[in-house]
Amino acid sequence: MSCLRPGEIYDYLEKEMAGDQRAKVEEHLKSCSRCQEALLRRQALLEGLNRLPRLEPPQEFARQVMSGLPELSPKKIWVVAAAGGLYLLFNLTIVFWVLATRLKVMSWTWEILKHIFTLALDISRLIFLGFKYLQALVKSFSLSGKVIINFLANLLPPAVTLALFLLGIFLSIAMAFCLIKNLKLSERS
Amino acid sequence: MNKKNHKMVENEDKSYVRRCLRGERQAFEFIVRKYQTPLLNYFFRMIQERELSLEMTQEVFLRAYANLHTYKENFQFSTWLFRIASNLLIDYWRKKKLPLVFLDAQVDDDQHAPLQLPDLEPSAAEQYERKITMENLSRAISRLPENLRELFILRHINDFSYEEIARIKNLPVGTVKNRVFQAKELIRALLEET
Repeated sequence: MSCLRPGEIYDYLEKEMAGDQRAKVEEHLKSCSRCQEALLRRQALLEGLNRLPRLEPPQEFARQVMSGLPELSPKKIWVVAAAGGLYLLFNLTIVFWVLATRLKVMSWTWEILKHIFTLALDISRLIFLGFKYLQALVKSFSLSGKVIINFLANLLPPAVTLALFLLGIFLSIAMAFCLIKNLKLSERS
Repeated sequence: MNKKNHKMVENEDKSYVRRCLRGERQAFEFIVRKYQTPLLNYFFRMIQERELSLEMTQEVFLRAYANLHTYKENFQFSTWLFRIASNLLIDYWRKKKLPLVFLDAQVDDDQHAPLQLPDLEPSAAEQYERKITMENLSRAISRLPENLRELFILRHINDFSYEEIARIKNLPVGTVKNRVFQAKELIRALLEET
């Protein structure tokens, strides 16, 4: 083996050399004083580097870093996830649209979408009307209740009125209970 | 560090990162305590100002924490962290308007044709060893060109492997190895001058 190149010396010292090559180098070093000298010089340099003092941070440094950290709120992650989801949905819509156009299924796709939209609109109208009628019903009940209470209050002493009112509530609950029970019975039969 | 220990350290880092992402803020303190000294020494050897190095170390942790969700587990956490540090250093030099020597600038990468260095007589080895005082060595490192110094520090101060440095700096392993070699030979030459 010829004399070692500086790169090979570092590879040998830093254990960056394969086993067989390493053995050859060791064999050569036994007989070559020039390479031994070159190796010693570089070894001294590497040892010097290992002995270099390391700077230590102040004791409170880690705490200082921790106190300066921003809030890594899970919300932020959710916002990112939601944005990602919306973006994906948008892309899927585009892909679906392109595919539908290419496959010439656009007409029936459009029909389906139209029907879904009309259905959603009808359901919304129904819910709105339902609320409207319910509101009117509640209002009429409260008005008739007020009329009856006022009538009874004028006609009867307050204690009797209150007793009758409570009795009315009790009878209403009992009637509702019976109705529900009957309904359940008829379902079973 | 052997391969098994290396793997354990890597897994430990990843588990801290996962805990941080689950909202366990205190897990990040383990990361800070583990990497504060290597990062501080990296900056200090590069800019030679203690207070500024501390500030930059803190900034690396802030950036890392804010971008923790972008960390991908198929990368080593330490290389990811040092890549942030390296980018911060580039920003710093840009702001200071120092002449940047880019890592991909043309340099002679042939380690088989090393720099022209004075060759010592065999008897001078002991004398040479005496010249390697800590002060001389620190001064010699600080006189290295930035493009060589950074790679040299990552290798011999931060103990990264050539492959890890290549990932941090996004350079071919061969290039990293040759640049580190050049840095060592330059330091040797500078020490011999003293």
